[in-house]
Amino acid sequence: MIARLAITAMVFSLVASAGSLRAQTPAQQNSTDQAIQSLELHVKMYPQDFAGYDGLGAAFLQKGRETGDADYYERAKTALAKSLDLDSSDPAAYSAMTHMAVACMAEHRFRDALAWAQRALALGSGDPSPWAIAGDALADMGEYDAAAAAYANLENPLASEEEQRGLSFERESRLSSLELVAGHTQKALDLMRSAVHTAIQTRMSSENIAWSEYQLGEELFQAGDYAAAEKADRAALEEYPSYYRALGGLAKALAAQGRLDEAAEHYRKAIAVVPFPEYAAALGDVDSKLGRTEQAKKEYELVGFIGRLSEINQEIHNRDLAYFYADHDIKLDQALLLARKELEVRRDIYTWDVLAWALYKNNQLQEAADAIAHALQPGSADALIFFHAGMIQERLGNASMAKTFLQRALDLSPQFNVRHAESARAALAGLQALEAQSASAAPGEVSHAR
Amino acid sequence: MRGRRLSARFSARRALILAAGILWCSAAGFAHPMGNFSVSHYAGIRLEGNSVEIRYVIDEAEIPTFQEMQRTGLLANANDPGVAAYVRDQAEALKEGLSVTLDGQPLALEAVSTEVIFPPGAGGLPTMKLGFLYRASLEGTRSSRRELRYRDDNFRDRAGWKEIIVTAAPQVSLASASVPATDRSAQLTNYPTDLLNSPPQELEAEATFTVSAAGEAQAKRVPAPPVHAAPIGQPQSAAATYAGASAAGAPSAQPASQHPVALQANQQQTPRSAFTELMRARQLSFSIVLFAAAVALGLGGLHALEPGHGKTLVAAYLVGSRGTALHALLLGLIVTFSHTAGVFLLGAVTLYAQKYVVPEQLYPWLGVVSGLTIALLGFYLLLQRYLGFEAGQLFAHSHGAYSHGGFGELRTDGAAAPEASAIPGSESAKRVTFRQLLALGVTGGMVPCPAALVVLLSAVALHRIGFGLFLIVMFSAGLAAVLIATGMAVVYAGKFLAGRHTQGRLIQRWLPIASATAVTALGLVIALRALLSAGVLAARL
Repeated sequence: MIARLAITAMVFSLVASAGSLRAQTPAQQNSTDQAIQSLELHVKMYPQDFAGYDGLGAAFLQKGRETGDADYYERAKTALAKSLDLDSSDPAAYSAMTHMAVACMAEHRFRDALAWAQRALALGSGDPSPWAIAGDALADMGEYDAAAAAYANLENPLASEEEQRGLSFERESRLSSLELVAGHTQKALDLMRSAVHTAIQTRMSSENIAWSEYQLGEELFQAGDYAAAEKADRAALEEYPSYYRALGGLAKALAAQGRLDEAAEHYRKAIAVVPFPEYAAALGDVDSKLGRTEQAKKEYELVGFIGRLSEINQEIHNRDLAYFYADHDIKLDQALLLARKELEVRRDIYTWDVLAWALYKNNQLQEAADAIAHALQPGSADALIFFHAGMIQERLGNASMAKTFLQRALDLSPQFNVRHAESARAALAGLQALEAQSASAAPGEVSHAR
Repeated sequence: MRGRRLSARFSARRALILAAGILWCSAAGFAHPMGNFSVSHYAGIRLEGNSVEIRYVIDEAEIPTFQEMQRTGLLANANDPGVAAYVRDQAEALKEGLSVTLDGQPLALEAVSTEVIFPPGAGGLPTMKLGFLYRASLEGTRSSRRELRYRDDNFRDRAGWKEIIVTAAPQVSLASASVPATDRSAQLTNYPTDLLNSPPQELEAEATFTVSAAGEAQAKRVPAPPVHAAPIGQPQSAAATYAGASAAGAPSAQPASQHPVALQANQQQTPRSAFTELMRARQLSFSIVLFAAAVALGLGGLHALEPGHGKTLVAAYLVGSRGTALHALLLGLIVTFSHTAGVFLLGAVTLYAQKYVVPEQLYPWLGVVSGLTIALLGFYLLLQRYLGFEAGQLFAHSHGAYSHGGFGELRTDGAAAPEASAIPGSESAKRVTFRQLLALGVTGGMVPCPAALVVLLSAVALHRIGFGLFLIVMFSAGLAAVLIATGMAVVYAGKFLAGRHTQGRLIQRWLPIASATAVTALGLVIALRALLSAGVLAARL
């Protein structure tokens, strides 16, 4: 869940003030590129304008979100640091500080993000938007109550109507994620639908609208409504073509509906834009399900290669790589190491889940059970977490608990994962067979079991 | 001669840096400056009177390169037999993604030349740079004012540097262009990383131009002059200039040629430091440490054979020819120690005085001091050899203090005791004093090679000082091992010879004199060379 901020409004006001000085290319260069160009010219003309550097930093953040290229976060930080060099005591500097917090979030430096957001709030500008990033950082640190309290501040009755709508987008989209974690799926969906509506109504940038539609798609998928998820992702792609997140989400929704060829095609498209390891891993899983083992092997090798690069560059795919290694029973010690490392900076339910899964694969069952308890603690209704919990309990010999968890995973989302849905069914069937066996051996138990 | 030597040294330094990069890959390697999954584009469009030329460069970072190698089954090596065919295929495949129209009519591009290189990226993993020269004829289109449109559909959505420039030959007058005439990335070899030079995202361009009749005639008469080096872009300017007026004055006007697109590795490697702070994988596996140690040892040994430490090699020879195996060993240890200490010292000085002294300026002076010391030492030895023991007596002292080991005892009567008969512990003459040994070892090791210093400074930069120090010790030990081996070889060869011509006047007198002369000369050459390189540096600065 990457941070959201209404940076676009600021960018475009600055673009307007800077004016478009250069001859536009006939290309449909996207609006973020135009914003970057204009703002660069603007700060060249007004090198003392801290707001110009802040706007440029915000535009780089947006470009980073769009391209998945971490280089832009570096540029953003440079621009924002310059802005703060010029002025960091004026209340208006809250904006650059908030953007700095966003850049930290993108690099998974949650503590720094929280610190920047708090500094921004301390300036007393009256704009509550830094609360959004503070809440995001807290959520990733697993402090969900504190995050909810932070999001509750995203209101400003004195602001203009447009600003209020922007704030309501920020609040609703974030509270939606928290509701999802708490297992209130329907509430989460309602909030997200409302956020999408606001994004469209207030004409946010294409990427922002597409993100909210994609996010809705993710929540729908989690709720097991694959067709609706597909629709949401397609809407996102219509808004912002070749949006890699939506391509990945769409592929996942297609795979869950058994449309594996189409799924593979969309994973390939997503990889052609941003080769995230989770897409390559998922494509490999789809390919192996289709019987294309050669192709799948290549995809898994690509994941391994990205993992190697991540080791070199300390990138931010620890969790995805840990899932991949654990799922495929390779480099299990590495999976555990990555999961533990991730937990040092990120303590949300998904990190506890990957840690539990890696521990399970390394046969550290008691620790795995403790970790999965953390993942389940907020009440989350997540099929993958239920599946992991079920497998751990099965290995621990708690057959009835294992059955409950596996059943819940499959009830919630019968095709929650190309690879694991079958395993979940098989494990459940095994447990039921075992129970039937012991029931026939001890008939007295039957009535009790019913 | 000087140039050759310097370049030899330079290449050794690069080798070590490269090795260091590989060794430290798990700490914080270098990534492609545009991000490890980027695909960068460059199109240099050149309008000629009767043709248009496009220098098209595609720079694929580590991940897309891996994907291509995976897809094709090739090795990321220009010598792989399949690579040539692959590059030819790519020339055609990428051409399909380019559309060039003149006054609305599509132009047929023809690939004139293809190039490929595989520069190492993060952790030594390969990246790939493809360069193509495409050409299309403008013959047969005769409108006075022409409009060229260019569109690149290759890797559109992939992050990267996407740059297009348009330039024109003198006989072509460029009326307008939607893209600059100057190149900001030197054909994707030097990506600006400063804030106000964010990656261009140009994938389309248009230009209107007219060809003067005279120019056209001239263009037909006089073929474009050949160039010997493909043009590398202009130095980056803060504000890109846009071709608005006649392109005749455009500084970057590049002559047309059949010359292929020259490809170079990226000049800068941006360390992606933000993530190193994030999760510090600070532990190194034992096998990596072991491997690193072995590589450092080997590089040190090779380094001993290079010009930089030639003097020490001579010293080793000298000690071997005049001393004992123990002397040779001791010299090796002293060299290791002084070399290591020298690097540490220079590293410390560099770190604390970085603001005032450029380390490069320091080396030549250390070289001068070291060379002169060696020359003096050689001259002293020469006097000793030539005049007999008189000069040597100046140094005769501390008799017996180290008599068991044979150090500190000085008898310089060359005629009385043939050097080759020097055997450890024997009562025969020992011609190498501990003091001389120390002087040789210290001067030999004193000039810390830039390579070792680079390793140390990188270690500091990577917060991995302990490992850096360890590597330098290993490097010095490798250097010393070669020196010791040389010394030993001479000692034992000497013993072998001694069995035959013990009384030979050649060995007894003239050989030592010759070697002393050689040492003197070498010391002077070293000092001179250091002075010259200081001069070269000064001239550059």
